[in-house]
Amino acid sequence: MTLPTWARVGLVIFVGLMVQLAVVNRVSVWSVSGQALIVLPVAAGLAGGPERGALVGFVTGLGFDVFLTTPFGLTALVWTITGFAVGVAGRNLMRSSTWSIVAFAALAAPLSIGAFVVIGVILGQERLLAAPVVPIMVVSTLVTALAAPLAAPAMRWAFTDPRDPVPLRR
Amino acid sequence: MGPFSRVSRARLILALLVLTAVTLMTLDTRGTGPIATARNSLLSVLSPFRSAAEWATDPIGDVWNGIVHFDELEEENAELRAELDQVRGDEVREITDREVLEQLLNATEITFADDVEQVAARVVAGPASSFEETVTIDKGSDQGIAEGMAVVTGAGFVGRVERVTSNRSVVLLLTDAEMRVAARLVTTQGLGRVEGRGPRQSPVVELLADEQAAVGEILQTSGLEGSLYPPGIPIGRIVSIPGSNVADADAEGDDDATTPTTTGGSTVIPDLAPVGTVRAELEPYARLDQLNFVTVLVWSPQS
Repeated sequence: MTLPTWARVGLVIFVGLMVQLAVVNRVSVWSVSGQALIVLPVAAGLAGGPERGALVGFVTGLGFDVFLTTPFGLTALVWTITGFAVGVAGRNLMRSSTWSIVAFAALAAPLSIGAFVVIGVILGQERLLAAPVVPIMVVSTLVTALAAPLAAPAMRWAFTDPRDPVPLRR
Repeated sequence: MGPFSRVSRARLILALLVLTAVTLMTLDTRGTGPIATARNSLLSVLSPFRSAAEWATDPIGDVWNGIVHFDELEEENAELRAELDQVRGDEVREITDREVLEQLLNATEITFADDVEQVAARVVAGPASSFEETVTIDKGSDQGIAEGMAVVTGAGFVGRVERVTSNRSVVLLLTDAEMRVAARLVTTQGLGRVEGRGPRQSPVVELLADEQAAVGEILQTSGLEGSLYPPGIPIGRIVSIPGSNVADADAEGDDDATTPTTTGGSTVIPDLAPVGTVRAELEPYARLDQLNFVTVLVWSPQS
């Protein structure tokens, strides 16, 4: 049985969400835990281009928003833009090597957290400033970079249609 | 499809997704019913998977924390041994202390909402992000829990129910920067407001400047008419008074007005005209970093 693309992407997002909530959340450094889930829109943007990056960012962010007390859609907004931006920037890559994925993930993590805080504060979530933003950025960068080599092949698998002789067309 | 149209399509999708996210945020912020219902339904569906994943991966977190926090564990061990020694040595004094505590409770009328229906719950998950101070408990609307209800332990106030599903509730802790609790000083009955300041920071209490605030003073929920929480729940005690932001105090040239003095072994802010506020740091009675079981007070301002 071959799963359709949307189901494979959904499965990868679901597994990523569970790993974030059950594992990454409980691995604390400097009393904070990181957000590794941002690696999924990054990997989707690199593997599938800006459109797929944005879509995966939106769904992943919305899934994460379910568990947060910040406005529903805030993470989705930030990660949609992140996935799109990585997809656009990734077009210039001749070939997506592991290191380039790690580099993109390590760059996207702190930027997306910064955007999350800024947009959140604009929306009246001043409490985000009370959190240890810099340590969260640092830890998130580390865990996202570590997760990138796992997320990239998972997302490539999700986007590859076994019936398609030319996989991963952007 | 040509390259131009593909780029246009990607931009169109981006615009639609951004618009959808902004719409969701706007509706959620305004408390529109269907969004909250949909969000809580999703939480209801996903929470059991989260619990199962946490159960399955429990050893990973334990191993990591054992490695990373080894020094802290050693320190904690040493502290616990010292505490145990002290407890053994203090057994004789315990009876006397208990009597003193009972007297204090009687004197301060901390009834602790014993006439309010209570639902005991287990903490099943911590916060989903380091940006917030929350815990998830294993009871929800099926047990009569509703948003806004106070959550306590035997020690005192823990937080309020922020979101509810049929079998889960998310509790916003006292330390979250969004938390505000109307409070009352036990001794003078002076009113104030306890505010959370975010992770790793003690909450503060903001009192009118003419209230005498001393280190060690106990605060409890105010019980004012329309108050969100039942009266008399112990919140915590004042541990330090860094200073006051009293307006015009310096202009009046009265240094004592802003300088804490020591009276009877405790730091006291002298009487001030009610022109500003005094902020004091608070130590919550409930151990918010070690919550296992909590109690939800099934009480609403109307009840």
